[in-house]
Amino acid sequence: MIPKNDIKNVIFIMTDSLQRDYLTVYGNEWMKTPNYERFAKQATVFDNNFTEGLPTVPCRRAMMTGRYTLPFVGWSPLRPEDTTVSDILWGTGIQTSLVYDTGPMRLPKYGYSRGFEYTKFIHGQELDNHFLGDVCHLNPDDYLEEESMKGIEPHIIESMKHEMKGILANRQEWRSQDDHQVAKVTLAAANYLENEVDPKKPFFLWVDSFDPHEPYDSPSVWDYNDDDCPYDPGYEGKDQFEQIPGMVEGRFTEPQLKHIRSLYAEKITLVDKYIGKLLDKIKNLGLWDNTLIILTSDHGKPHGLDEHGHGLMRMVRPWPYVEMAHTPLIIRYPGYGEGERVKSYTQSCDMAPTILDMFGMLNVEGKKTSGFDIQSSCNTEDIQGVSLLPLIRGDEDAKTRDFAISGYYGYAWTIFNDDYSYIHWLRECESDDEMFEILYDGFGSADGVHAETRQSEDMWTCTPHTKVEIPEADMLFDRNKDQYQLNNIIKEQPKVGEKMLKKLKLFMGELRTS
Amino acid sequence: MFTQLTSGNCMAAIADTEQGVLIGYKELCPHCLNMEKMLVKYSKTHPDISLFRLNIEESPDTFKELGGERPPTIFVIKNNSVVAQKAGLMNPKEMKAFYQRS
Repeated sequence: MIPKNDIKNVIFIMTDSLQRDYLTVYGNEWMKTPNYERFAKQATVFDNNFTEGLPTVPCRRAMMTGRYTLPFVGWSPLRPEDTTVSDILWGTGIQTSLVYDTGPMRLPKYGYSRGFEYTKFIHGQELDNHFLGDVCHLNPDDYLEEESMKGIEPHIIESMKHEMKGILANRQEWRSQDDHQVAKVTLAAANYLENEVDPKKPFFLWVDSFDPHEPYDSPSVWDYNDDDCPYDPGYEGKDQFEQIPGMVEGRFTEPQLKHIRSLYAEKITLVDKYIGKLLDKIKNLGLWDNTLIILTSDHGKPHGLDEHGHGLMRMVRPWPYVEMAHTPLIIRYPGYGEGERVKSYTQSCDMAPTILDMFGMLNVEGKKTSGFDIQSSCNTEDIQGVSLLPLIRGDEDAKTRDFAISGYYGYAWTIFNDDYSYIHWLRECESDDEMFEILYDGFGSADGVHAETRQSEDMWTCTPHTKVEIPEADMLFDRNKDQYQLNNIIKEQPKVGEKMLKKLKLFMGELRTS
Repeated sequence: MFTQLTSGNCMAAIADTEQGVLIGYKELCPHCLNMEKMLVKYSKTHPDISLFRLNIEESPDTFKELGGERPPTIFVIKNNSVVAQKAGLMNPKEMKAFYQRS
């Protein structure tokens, strides 16, 4: 079971909502993310990584199971028939551990922490932000501009202020950067590596930091040293660290939007700092050259007009534009691919096979000796993603795919290739067409999800004040001239659009049979 | 991987097979192609099960005689005869369950 090569361990580091464009390694020129930069120089950077099923929960499901989710299942619990990396590794002698503060992974009924033999949950983030009780001296109104509440229903405002009170209750105790959530998560992971793990046995550690997700409670918001936000010094408005979600126009001015993006950027720089500390710890413990390290995220975040978010503030519409779907992925595979960049298309469902491949367990049959039927199903036969290790090694026959998909279950499917991106909005009439029949025939279900749940599954995000509203017609964009998908060219190039849609639908059909 | 059958040898092949799966397909049907890929994957973990294919445009009467209506259709062969059939798409896990309960 233990791999024969020198690499014994895998550390997977997820930072939620880390938009690719905010990292210098992906071309950002106005921010500081020196630790991601430093790591990338000793690792392999993937330029075409896309999250297939958005957002938070479907992405993690794909990463853990190695299966595509987009046509089959949205924001919902893991099911008994789903087989995860930790299910497969259990009982093999490989230690599995999860250190995290991501609420949707902690919800017991969701099941995303199942199978890990060591878990450490850090309280205080979304879904758990009333952990400390009442807020004393901080007031939500000090962090909300009046116009941002314009046109928003009163009960939504109340709900947002209630959430903010929970956040402030936790933050009122903070005195330094080490109190921030990302600091606590990475320090807990470092503690696990130093004091908990058995160094004589291989381990798989999943670190899941909800930062830099909202709230953008960056150091300058709490004024430890009376510092300004480094990316927007001199700003005199309120620090809207937890924005009222919705459309941007008429509710946020451009300076306010710039400041919100600057607070987000500041938080990413904080994340970078603590990821750097964790990487240093890995080195200091002598794990640098015998551990595969993966840095990635689940999606980006909309904060404004055009390339900043297509008019959205936060994830309030199921719109899989590039700022959401195109995600960072950097992997350090000791001895291979140092400083290389990979153009091949990779997807969230490639994480499980990559991790299992490192442990030499990519093709395992279920355990037959236990006598428990459920254990015989803990095998890799369901995996649809591919291991990325051959790509990093530069193996001659290594390949993934020449396109990637993304989208929101039940609402939108999109496909990206080197030349174009196409968004197919799933409207009500979809239920009558051939695609619906293809996905939901067979045994009357798709992966166990009955057809009737497809349109009624309204829980697709954790963002409050969301609305399922999608454009009327499909869209086509030129990836080389229009990387932010601002100029829809479907009327100018209908044949290209038809070809992209056909390819997308054929692939969805293929997923149904794999 | 697949043994190609025709009207001339299909029934004899079934009568000569202990464990097998037959797919009724059309040449240009993309879903048939996907189902054939699925059967290739399925057969890796079930090497004892023989795979057959029948072009239903070239052998429509044989397909009808087997009870097929539309492509792709999967026929399960056990103990020298067809014991179950299913039209539509399946993944390997569903195929495994279908074969086991047929």
